[in-house]
Amino acid sequence: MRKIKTASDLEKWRQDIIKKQKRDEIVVSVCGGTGCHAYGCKKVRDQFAKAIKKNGFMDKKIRLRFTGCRGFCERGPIVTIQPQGVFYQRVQEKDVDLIVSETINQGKIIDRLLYEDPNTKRKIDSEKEIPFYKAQHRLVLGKNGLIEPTKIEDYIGVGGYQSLTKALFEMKPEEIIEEIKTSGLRGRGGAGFPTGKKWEDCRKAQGNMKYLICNCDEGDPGAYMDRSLLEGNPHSVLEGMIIGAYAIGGSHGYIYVRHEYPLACKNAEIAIKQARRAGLLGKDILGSGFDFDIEIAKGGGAFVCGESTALISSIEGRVGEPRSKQIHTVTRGLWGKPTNLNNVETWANVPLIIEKGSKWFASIGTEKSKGTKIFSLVGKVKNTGLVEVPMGITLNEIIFGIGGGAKNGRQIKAVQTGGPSGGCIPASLFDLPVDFDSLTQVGSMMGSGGMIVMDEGTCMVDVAKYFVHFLEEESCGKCLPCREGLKRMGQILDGITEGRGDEETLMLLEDLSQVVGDTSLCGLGKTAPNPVLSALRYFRPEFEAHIYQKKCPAGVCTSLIQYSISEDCTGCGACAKVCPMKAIEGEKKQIHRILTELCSKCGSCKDVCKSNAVIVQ
Amino acid sequence: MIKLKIDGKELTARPDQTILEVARENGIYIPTLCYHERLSLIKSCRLCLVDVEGCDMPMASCATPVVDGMVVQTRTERVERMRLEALKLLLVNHPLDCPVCDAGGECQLQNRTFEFGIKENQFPPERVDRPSREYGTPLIRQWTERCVMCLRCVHACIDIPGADVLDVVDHGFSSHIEAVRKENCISCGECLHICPVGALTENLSPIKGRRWQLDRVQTTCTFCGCGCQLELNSLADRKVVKVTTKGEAGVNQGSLCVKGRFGYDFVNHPERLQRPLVKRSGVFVEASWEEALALVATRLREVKEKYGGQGIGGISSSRATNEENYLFQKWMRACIGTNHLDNGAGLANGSSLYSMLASTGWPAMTHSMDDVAQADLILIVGADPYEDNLIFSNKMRQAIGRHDAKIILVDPRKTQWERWADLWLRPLPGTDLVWINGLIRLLIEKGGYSKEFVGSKTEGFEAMRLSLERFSREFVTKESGISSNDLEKVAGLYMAAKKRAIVFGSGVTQHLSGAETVKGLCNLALLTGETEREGGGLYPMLTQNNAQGACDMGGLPEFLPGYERVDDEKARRRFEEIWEGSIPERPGLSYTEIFEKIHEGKIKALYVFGEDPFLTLPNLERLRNGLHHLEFLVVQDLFMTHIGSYADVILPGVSFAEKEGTFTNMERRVQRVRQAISPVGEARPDWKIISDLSTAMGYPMKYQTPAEVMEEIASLVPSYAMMTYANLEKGGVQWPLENGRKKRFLAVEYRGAAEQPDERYPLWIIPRGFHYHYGIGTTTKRAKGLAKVFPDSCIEVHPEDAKRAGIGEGDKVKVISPRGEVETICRISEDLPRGVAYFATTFFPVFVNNLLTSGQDRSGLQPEYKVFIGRVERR
Repeated sequence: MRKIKTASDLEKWRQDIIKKQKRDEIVVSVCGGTGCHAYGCKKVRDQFAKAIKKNGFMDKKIRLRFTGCRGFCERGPIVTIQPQGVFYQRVQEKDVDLIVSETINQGKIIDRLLYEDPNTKRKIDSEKEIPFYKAQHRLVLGKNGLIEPTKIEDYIGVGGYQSLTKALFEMKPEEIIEEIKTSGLRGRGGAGFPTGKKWEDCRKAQGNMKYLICNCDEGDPGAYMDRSLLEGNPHSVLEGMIIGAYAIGGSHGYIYVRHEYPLACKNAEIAIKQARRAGLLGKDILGSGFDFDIEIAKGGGAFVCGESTALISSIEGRVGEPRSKQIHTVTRGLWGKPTNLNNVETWANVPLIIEKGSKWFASIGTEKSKGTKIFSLVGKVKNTGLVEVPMGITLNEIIFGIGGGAKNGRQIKAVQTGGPSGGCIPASLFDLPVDFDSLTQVGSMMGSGGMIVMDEGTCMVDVAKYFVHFLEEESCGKCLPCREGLKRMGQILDGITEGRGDEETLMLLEDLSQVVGDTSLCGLGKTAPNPVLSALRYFRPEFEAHIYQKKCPAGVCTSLIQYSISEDCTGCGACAKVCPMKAIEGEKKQIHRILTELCSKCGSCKDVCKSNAVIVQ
Repeated sequence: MIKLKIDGKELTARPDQTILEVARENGIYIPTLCYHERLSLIKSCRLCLVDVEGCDMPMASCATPVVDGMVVQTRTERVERMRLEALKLLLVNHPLDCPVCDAGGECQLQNRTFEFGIKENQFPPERVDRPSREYGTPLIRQWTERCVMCLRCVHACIDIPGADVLDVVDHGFSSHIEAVRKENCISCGECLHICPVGALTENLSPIKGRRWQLDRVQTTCTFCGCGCQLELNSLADRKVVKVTTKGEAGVNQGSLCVKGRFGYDFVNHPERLQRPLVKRSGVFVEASWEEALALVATRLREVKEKYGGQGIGGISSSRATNEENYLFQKWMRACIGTNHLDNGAGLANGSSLYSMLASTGWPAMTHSMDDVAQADLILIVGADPYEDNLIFSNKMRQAIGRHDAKIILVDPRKTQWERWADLWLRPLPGTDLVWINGLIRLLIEKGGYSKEFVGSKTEGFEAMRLSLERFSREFVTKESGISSNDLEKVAGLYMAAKKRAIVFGSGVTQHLSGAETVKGLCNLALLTGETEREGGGLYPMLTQNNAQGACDMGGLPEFLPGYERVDDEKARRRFEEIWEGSIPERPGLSYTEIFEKIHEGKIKALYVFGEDPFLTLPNLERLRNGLHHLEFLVVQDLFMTHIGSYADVILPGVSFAEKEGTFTNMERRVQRVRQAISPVGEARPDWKIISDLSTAMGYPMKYQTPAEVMEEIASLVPSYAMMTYANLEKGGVQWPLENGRKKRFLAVEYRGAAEQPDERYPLWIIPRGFHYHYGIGTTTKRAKGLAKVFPDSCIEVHPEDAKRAGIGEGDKVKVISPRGEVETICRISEDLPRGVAYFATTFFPVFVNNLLTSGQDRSGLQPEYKVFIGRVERR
């Protein structure tokens, strides 16, 4: 790699890279995101490398690329082959030789590896046609499939660091801030604070040492868009931060990553080293006279450390506890110096805005929420994974369009957005446009973009209980209402699900929720009652059923349900075999019986019963 | 000014105030648990929430700044309910062991519960078992289950002394406070003081009293020169059982160090002298006061008749009150007829006193202790305020917080302040004067001084400048080991600052060249007028509680009270007239000279009051031999001392807890000492003993109370004119700094060290004091609490030096100097430079003085305390 000293050198380098890449006739991309890793993509890639080497491909130049996350994690490992644009899913090590001999050598498509639309049962061979991708608008995530995250050349080849040269040599810091302001970009970490305004405040803050922080302490269960970005396209985050630093006057940056994200840490570290070596970080960036450097700070994985002041404490080597925000971090943050903190996704949006202009960016989305947002769509839908959509798209479009609707023919009941401190939105409100303000209005929030779809088999009391316990665990314990209040809320919810609720319980729960929400110190506590309050708002009858009828309508709360076997039983004995408590008895071919006093209500019998004879009441 | 409305009241406020501050100022009550005016905002308890018009959410009043036109309601139904709910939540798992809790009666949780009238709770009480862990100090017991997690202790530990011992461990409901960095704990008890409930209690006194059974008397601490205000808690007029502080009182604002807070029980120590002792046939026997006083009066009169007043010497006590020091010197001068008197402060701090008097005209700190918090540069030379004067150290830390003050630390040893220093220099021992002179020369060369101030307010600049000729950068590097680069950096920081404070301590003063070095520091301060009101200040750290007062009161050989020279005829006449006695006109002998003259047989009787020269002067053997020449030796003290065993008569005095009086702290603040308990046994207040002796010798002193003594002082000493007890009742008063004269630059002379390490004695050994003990340890070594934490002396040795000497951590070792040897324990420390060992010692019971060189500085004042050569061997 060469050290670049001017903008034109960078351009020249880019042209060289593009020229070199053009020589490759075929590009095989194996997804190397954490999800696909779990499915064994590393073996697939190695197998490809071996096969390509073995076959020699005298006449064809083949390039193997190990990309970042493609979003459709449920279907991993994912392999695409260019220029045909073939999209293979659930590829195993053993499939590789076949792909090489059939698809690469002969251009034949292997039907078995194609994606099948569960609704139409149609096999689809190109990525663009897959419903999961079709409705998406992959501005930020899009490049993940085109580059290998550990190769700076790939990023530069797709136009990377172009925005940086533009910012450094064609724009004044104030102009950049103005551009970000007019673009309407709002913080993607959850609160949706206008990014340009934050930058402006930090630029105006007194002090010659200013810090930038990239928050990659993604702690919401099920959310992983920040990880996928930092893993799959770390240079876009770096580029955003360097532009931000130039605009703000920052001199040092930190990327705060939780240690549970080893691949993100590794890729970001490699990217930083490469950028330094290339002269894109460090002293006198691209010969502009501007100095800026970035380092990685690893977090211990506490949920509360995603809160900005707790995160700052953690970088400083102290216990991650929120501090008083009376003085904003833009004036006095890390080590007491002005500090600008943005989320990974926010930083990754910056190069796009600089490249394509604020007008273009502002044309996407709604009046107050611009651009796209990445969601992690999980739960009881057919297609799960990371989806990037323009702001303002409806929940229906996401859940039924991209997600493909409910699994197993059940009814979708609600979606929980915004992570553990978000709220549950009932299916009746699925026409709601997804943006910062509408979500807040219905008692939930954008949060970092988690979206958990629930169907009729989900008990809303149980969901509320789960999230309250999660937050009770993750509360730092500093302020009284959050520490003590969540504990008691959890206790009340435990009581309801165990049939110990009475008339006063719901009142007490609501009162306590209000106290915790109104009086807690930081966002964690303030939003912690959301799952409870929104569940009470939209699903109160479910709570009442638990309290007055001592029944769990969804059949989830074990204290309130009983398993029995109906007359549909064929007497196959599968249930008795699987029962860990030996609580099922019955002769072969005879209707079986569950011994209630032994039954642990694990539900294994229901799962194995082919004739749907196990009933929950 | 801002106008706002709180609970319907129209109020005005400053824009930098918070709602809570304004409310409190105007008598509007808002409940709090975590808020404390001295700490950074914590915001953990959420009890202070108020409703602000236009805000959906209630606002934390402790953190919300006031805005013009703001309308605040502190008692809406909503916030009251929220406070109530929050409190109830706390009470679910707070053990209701109030009847046996030390905080019972003054517990904030108890008070809040009472206020809100909580009688029942919708949640059943829950006992939470938390593993009990060792706290940072054995002097404090932590009751984790009583903790309300207000986090005051964590913040106090970081914000005030900067020790940083505590942290929150675990999270959520399991979170609790733990001493995670025990090694940092200095047992200052800031956490204990600031805990609003009984989660931290004193773990020292076996006797506990309920709040209402204890008598609390506010008095002045008897340890270092800070002069902290504290409350002695006593039971039945007999026993001091606890020390507490009131937040608003005194320079310390509620803070204390370990000595002040936990060092009180020497007062009731069983070894206290309770009756006069008279030596008969070589054995002490108890005697009645009449007998003992008559004997002393008679024998002293005999000596005086035989040899004249000049044959008698007296050592006064810098730990005794102003009144006692005044009476002592009055008795010595006007009754006995001798100026051969000195006090312990002359030994420990004499060099700063004399040099500052010569330079600035004030034998004292040029500013108040609080002023150091206004500095934007602090130069710390040969002082460890963190160990020795913690309260002053706390104030220095405020300068960092408020003014981002730059800190330059000059010390061979890595002290706590190194943590906060921007620049740390390690000169060779005893060479401070070299770099100071080098710095002054550099600053003059660079124009880094105020020509206007130097020209109009000072004299002697040229002569001083010429005396610096040899202190080139090269010379500084060669002699003191400080590189020219570092010296440049100091000059750079110094010139960039506006208010430069200079803090120095015994590491400067207790050297042979101490007086000269202080002159050098005075010169440095005068360059930019730091001695003036608007300057940064010159802060000598005084070791004894009444070092300033003992000197102010004329406990010095050449000074009458108020620093009027005895050889100034006019002054002397004035005192003679009022005292109705004649005062010898020639200045007397200093502390060390008195013992020289005893050896020469010139002083025949000695009266030692509250001092133990056998532990403070070098060359014990010679001292002992000298005593044979004495015809009569009287010792007046709390305990049997080393010199005491040679005395003819021992008179039992009382501690600060048993008498009335005043101390003057190192910022010249005169503060009351108030009696908390009756004297132990038959011991008598020292002022009373001196008066009675004087009366018995035919010079009547008929004072009924120390207040009367102070009235006499006030009438005689202009700077003490305001110091009547009536004026001091509300709080201490500083004596003013006024003199019209020009400040003087003083030419200084540098002489190298008295001895240099050689093959036999390869180490520089520097005795140092430390946090847990004080002076020679007469009192602190007898304080159970202090001895518990730090029982022994030790020698700290650099790992390489230890390796060479074949010794290791914890080994029993001998420290040997050309004069003698003592035994101690070895500690390996990387905080020292190679070739230098630090002897952490209180002298007692290790006779470190036996190792010192017996050289003295030219003025005959200062023994070389701070460095000698030696080696360390395994025992």
